[in-house]
Amino acid sequence: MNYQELDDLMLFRLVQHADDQAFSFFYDRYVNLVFSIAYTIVDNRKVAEEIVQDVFLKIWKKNHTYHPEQSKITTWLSAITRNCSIDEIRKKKVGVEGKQVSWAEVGQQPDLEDIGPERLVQLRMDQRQVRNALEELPEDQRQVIFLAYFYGMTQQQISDQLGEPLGTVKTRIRLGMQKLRGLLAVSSEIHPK
Amino acid sequence: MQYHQEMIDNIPAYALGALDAEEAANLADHIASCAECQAEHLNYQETADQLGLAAPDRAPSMRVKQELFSQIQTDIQAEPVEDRKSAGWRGWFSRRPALGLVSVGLVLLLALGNLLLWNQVRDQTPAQFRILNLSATEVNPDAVGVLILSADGQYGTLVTNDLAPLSEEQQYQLWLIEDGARTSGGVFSVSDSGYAALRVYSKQPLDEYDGFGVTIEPFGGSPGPTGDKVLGAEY
Repeated sequence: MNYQELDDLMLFRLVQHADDQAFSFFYDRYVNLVFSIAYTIVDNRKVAEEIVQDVFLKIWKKNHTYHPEQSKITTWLSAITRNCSIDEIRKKKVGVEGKQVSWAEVGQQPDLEDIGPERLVQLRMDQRQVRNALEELPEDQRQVIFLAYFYGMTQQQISDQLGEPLGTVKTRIRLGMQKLRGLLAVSSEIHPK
Repeated sequence: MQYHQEMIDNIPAYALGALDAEEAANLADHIASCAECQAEHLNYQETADQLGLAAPDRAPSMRVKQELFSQIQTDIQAEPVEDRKSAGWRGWFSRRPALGLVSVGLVLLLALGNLLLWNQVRDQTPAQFRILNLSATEVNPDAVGVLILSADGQYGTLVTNDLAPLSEEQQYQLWLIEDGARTSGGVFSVSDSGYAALRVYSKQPLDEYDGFGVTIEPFGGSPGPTGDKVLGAEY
């Protein structure tokens, strides 16, 4: 069987039947996404690699918790990885003080150069849509959303971190998320998944 | 109405996990009883969950995969086969005790039915499975390999014994051979005694292949055979 040709759902069905080779291909397909999210959150290669192992072990052992009708695989993986990573920084009390708070790198991703397998191309397109949508936001809105999503900070903590009034932070998050929702919905209509 | 508006305004932050505990609890209560807020929440949650895709691209070291799969193989080998098969059912029945009792009754009825049926057909044992023997090579002359095929040839399981355990950097890989082309049928590691059972999936019935082979490959497998052949069969 050529596992590389299987779409996400077919591949995951085999993972759910404890097919370790399917899981190997599933790992290869998504490990960079999982590691990238974990690394962005914990800012430490070794800890991020531990999180990658935790996330994929969870997926191997608890793969029945994924319901394809509720979300895409990438969305599900992102949510698991983010939760594991934020738990980790809370457990280890890794502070965000002194970290560079910026989406700057986001706009500097290389363009899609490789004509790779279809699934890789789809993943790259999804990534580009989200990055383009974020670039449409004013910097102050991007910043508060970054702190909330990648550092797991509450609105009050963001207010304290930035020295901005709580009401200002709330407004920025609300307006930023409203705009993102609209932009990503438009992207989905243009590039239906 | 004003309370509802306050709640709905908080949903974007809730989807990001940015509300404090008390605010989040209040909003969760409200969402549970408000259809409009449920829809809003689903929508914003979908938006928030896509943000991970914006993380700058990075790749972990290869060691991470080796350690992960080594742990998975250890778990697979440590878990008795019966436990793997029945764990899901035990959990299912424990959550549905009444159905469990009904099922026990059904099993007894089936057993009685089978006994009667057995008396009728004991002289006609249909071939439910076919067993194909794979011969050992000089690399591992004591190795034993059999491929058990379902009656329709759609499913198969490779069972090995006395295959030499490999280093952590290597695994065995099964090849499905057709017109000289080799397609991977899966990779596997063996226990200390050389035992392994590998479920084999294929787009076409397994009995349509010309032959099967097992080689030693780098951990995770190769696109085509590169190492020593340890088991093989041609039909």
